[in-house]
Amino acid sequence: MKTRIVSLLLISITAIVQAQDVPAWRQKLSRHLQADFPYTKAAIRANFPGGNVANKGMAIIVGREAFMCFDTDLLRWSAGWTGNYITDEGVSYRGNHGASPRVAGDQKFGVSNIAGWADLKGSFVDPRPEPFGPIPAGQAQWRGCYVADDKVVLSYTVRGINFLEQPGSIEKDGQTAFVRSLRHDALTGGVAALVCEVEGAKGRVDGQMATLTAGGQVTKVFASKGKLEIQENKRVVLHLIKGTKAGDLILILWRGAEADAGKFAALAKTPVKASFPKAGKNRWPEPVVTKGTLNTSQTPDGAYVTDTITSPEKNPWNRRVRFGGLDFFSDGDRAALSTWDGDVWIVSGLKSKELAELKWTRFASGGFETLGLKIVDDVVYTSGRDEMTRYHDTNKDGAADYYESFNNQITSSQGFHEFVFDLHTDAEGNFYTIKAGPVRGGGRGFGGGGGNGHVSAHAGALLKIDKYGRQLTVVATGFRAPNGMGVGPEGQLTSGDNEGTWMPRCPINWVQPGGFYGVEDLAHKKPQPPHHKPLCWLDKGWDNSGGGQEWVTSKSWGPFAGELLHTSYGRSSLYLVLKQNLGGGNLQGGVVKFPLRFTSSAMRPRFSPHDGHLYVAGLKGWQSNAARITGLDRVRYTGKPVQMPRGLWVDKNGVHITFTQPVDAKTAADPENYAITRWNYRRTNAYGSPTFKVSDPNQRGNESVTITAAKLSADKKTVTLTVEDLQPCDQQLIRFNIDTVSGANIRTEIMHTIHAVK
Amino acid sequence: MRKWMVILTCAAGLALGQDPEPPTGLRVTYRAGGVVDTMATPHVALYVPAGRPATPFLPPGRFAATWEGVVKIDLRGDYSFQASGRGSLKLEVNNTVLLDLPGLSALGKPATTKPVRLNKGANAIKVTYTSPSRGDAQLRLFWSDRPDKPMPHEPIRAGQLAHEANPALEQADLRRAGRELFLEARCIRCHKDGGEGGIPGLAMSGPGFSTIGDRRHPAWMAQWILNPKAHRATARMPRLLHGENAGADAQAIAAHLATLKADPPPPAVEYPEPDLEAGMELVEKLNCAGCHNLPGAEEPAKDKLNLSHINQKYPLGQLRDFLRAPNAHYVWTRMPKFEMSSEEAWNIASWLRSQTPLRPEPLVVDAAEAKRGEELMTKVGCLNCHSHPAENQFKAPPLADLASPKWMGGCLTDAPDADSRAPRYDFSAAERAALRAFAATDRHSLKRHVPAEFAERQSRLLNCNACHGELEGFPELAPLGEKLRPEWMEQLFAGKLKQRPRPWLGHRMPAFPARAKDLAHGLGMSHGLPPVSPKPPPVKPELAETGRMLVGVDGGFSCVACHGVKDRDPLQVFEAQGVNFARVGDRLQSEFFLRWMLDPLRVDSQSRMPDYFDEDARSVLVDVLEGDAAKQIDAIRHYLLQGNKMKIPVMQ
Repeated sequence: MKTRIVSLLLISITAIVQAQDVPAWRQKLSRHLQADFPYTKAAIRANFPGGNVANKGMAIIVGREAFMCFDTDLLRWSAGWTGNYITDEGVSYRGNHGASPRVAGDQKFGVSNIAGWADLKGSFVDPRPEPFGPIPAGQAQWRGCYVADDKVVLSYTVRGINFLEQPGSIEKDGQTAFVRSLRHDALTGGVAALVCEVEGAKGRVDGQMATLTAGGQVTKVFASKGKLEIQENKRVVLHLIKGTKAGDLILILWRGAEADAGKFAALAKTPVKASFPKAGKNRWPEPVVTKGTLNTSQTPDGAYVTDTITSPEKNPWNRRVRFGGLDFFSDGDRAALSTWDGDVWIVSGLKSKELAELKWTRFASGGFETLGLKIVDDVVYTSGRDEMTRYHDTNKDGAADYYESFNNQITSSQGFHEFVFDLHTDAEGNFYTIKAGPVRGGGRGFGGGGGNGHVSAHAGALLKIDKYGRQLTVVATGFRAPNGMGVGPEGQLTSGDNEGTWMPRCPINWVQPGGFYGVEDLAHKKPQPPHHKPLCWLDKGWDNSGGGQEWVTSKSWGPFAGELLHTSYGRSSLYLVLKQNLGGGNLQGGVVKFPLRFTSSAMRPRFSPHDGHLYVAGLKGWQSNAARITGLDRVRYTGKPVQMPRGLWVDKNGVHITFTQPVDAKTAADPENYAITRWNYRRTNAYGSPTFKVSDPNQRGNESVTITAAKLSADKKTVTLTVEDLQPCDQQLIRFNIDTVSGANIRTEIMHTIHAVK
Repeated sequence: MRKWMVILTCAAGLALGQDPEPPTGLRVTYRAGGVVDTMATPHVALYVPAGRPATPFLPPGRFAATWEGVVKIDLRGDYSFQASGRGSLKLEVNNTVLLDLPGLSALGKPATTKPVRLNKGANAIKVTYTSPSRGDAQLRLFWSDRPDKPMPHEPIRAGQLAHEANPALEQADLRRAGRELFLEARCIRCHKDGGEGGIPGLAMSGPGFSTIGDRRHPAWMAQWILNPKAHRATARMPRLLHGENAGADAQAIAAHLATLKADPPPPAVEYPEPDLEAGMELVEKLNCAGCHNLPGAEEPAKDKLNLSHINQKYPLGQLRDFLRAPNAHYVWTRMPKFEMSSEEAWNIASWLRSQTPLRPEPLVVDAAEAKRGEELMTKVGCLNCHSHPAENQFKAPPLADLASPKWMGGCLTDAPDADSRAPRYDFSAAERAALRAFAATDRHSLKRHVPAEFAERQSRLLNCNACHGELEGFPELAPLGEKLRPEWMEQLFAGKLKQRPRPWLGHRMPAFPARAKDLAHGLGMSHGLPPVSPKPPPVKPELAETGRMLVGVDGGFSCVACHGVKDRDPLQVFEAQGVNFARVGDRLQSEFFLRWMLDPLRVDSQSRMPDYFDEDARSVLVDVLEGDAAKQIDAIRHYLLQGNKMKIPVMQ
């Protein structure tokens, strides 16, 4: 333990930390939080004013024992405090379903949930149609931040004017003051900044000093330039007039007992020289080296094997590694992976022989549950709860310096379940991500406030962001917890989802723009739109929580080029999707499993454009049978003949199954070697659905279907099953036990859905 | 209940029509001491303690049993069968002998057949068993549809077994139905049977009369006494009063009963303002509609008890007290005992009362009439079933004197004389036929208690399937006997468990105290399990520690996401909370636990429990105990066996 603390210190923000004077909060900080990175993003709850929550908060370490929270939606400093950092409450930290992190120390200042910069009329009133998402860009716009050693420099515009802001603190004579150092371009218009609020205070302004007194406590603000004003006896505002030249200013905030008020003058006179650095040293220069393992599992035909890309679960920073995004750099040797914990890791050595030299380096940190990652032109983008981030390593030292907010228009409330899953691009360069609904703790229903969050505009929606990051638009609605999606070569959109309220089972959705995919609380339309039925449903044993999809773009991955793959986070499984186009944007079909074993769940399948192998990343949260906390595996085609079904369609002649190999007429043309059962679901506001008989919709259970004939095609690759009473059903399970011409046994199952028998 | 109705109607030759599906389960024929008994059974399994009969109609001692029928599969494939127990066994499938074991020992390894190809559809199966010459008889037959895989064999599900009815089975079912009716109608209360050792059902009586004057409205009692079936189609109480004076006589008896009040009177009770909405919600949660037609039910079911009379029946507050302790004055009541708080019972009672418009009618209690009623009560037979201090004057011939031909008259006459004093049960023709079939037996079955038979009968009569397999969180009833340890089940049925296994469920498992022990034993024995579980192995601390790691978050399966441990809540329950680990060790049978852990969906297709092991019995955690599923599950079992002494696993 001692060793760990020492090593943490060595690489931590040593500029403000003396090794012989480790503040208590660092020593007792939960392992789910980090002291060696200057901020943590989360929905941060403050102790005052009442209801003060920064839905997109950055809790920044601004001094030895001083912290400030910046709200990137409202562009306000929601709170400043001393003592302890934040609690580790929250689904991605302690794991609890509900409350998010709270200010853990002695809060010194705060503001209510209003805009941090005034609008053209000078008002700070929240201008948004609902209290979620960013304020209008014309008022103020978040641009991102620079991370340089222990410093964070925030970048935003106010009325289109560039501002940089570097938070800090002064500690003197037992007092701590919070410092906002601002650098701005020439002010082409007047601007007003919100500084702090104290309810029911008596206030006065003396030149560059404002004082608010309430309840024996004094809050003092010093501004190096501009004009301070006290509004409504509670709010300190700084006005900068039109025509002010480009330059710097500082704001100093302090609160303490009236007896200590005299000490503020000395604090305010302390020289503060903000440097507004835009890059710092790589804080993680040493890689974590692991060795991969080949052939960790294989399909019965030996055609596909998994290789494990051993993850840096053990690392010097004691960071939890839980992969939520994956993509490849152009060199073919490196991939970037984002984690639920907000890190971006880069692994190199994918080209190394037998994966013997895998080097993992940390590239970025501090993200807000970054569960999607995409690389475009060798630049890393992630999707998180708060924004899409674009990462720039400006000094080329291997770690990101500028965390650019590529697009932050997404809405986010406090809900623990508001995951933003996956990140893809289409051929035109547009980005796609998909946001879960604010499922309540316990799994049923949505929203309701507090840690369960609210149904905000983007809850349960598939979202598109144009290639320049300018505009986010809603593509489709009604998703519950789609832990992954897919974008095809021709822009086909797909998603999974998770059984629950309004979701009788896990679907694979074939998404159409404007479509509604099931959850009525998240339709965002009145009247309720019709449910766009999924490509197929998957019964519990197949998928209880869907992962992402991937199209087989590789030419060297066996016979499935151009096909669609689906992963199950819950069942840690990989499936080939068998699809039949019904026209009009409607498909039906099913899946067949690749019986492979993954290190963790299967969530983010991606083909490497370089080696043509499929890589599958995943993490273990809840409702998953994943083994390890995270995993990255490679699914490699060995060149052996594949013995699998590869196509399925249903018409009035029966159920047609196509195989990758010619099958043996003796076994394959015998209906005794096939079994079919079927059932229906009910989509209701209950969690999931019981099964109901197709022949009697009110009777629970499944029913067998009689197969009267099995006919083999001339090329021996397609079997047509003649089925009594073939009709649409939500779920049909086909089991078979046949041989191929070469004598291999195919004993597998197809789980599928029939919308139409034409 | 419905099953017997079907049997009874079939037996009476009334129900004909299209070809029905063959009945599920196998037909088993028992032979002992020259006596034969046949029945349908869902399992190839039995457990008969030494010196006890295999069925109520068989003498105790050595016996043979033959199961016959078909096993249905929907996909051609290779299967293997596995038998365990004590005794000798022969297994034939499709007329081929797969096992021929003259001496089957429980101590040895279970006998497993080689893989055998079964065809799609029906495959004939015949199992011939002979109990051992000494010791308990036991048999369990399992199978596997993947004998090429190292997964354990499992019971053959009842739905996959079928048999053809035959005359012997129909006749045996008829006399079994007759015996059941004999017990349910309390025939033995009048027609006494001498000697010792009656079965538990013979002790069944009617509700006690103590303080009934406080507990029921007299006018309603008069109506009920006059004709119970007019109020409840399934009432077991006969009409004892006939003729022109019947109505006045019923009122006289009711008048007397109205005088039976607590002495001194109970203190006055102040009833709080009820929460009617809470009461209505609780009625739904407790699934009262499983057995009752709730007020306003659109289509009242004939076999359910109406509640429209409750205001006529219960004085204020009495329904609440009845709901809290339905067995207080009637040990053998079928009404389950929910562990209900006074407030909950009051809310339910108040809501029900608010929903039923009928109000009690006044009954003027005349002292002379009450006296006449008391005398009448002692003469017409009330006191054969109902306790009362007066001397019972009613006499009926003892059972031994009722030779089979006499079962054509008296209570069982097809057309009662107007002046007959015999109680009128209004039995149907089929019911009378069943009772007569029973009469034709030696009636020793009234002294042969067979727990498996008791459990089958009681779980049907108690309507357990109204909730089990129907309500969320209530598993199918059929496999519970092989899942739960009988010691734990007995505590559950007796209402003595300190903690409900799933306290978060709105629905509650009620208690049936009078039946607890025999129900618990019988459910297990019908699956071939002894009434006393084998002593669990001593906990191996090292293995238990590995188990603790396996259920935890750090490097384990994170079972604690859904399962609490002692006083610690689960971390991340989504819909499917699991039973607290401190309460698993003494609850589950170890053989079941292994199968459940290996593949929960195979055991329960609606389960949300994840599986962590593949069909090769390999674990996803390859680095622990060689990745061997059985070893890891055993380690978890050792951890769970510690109960409240277990250490908390890593939970974050």
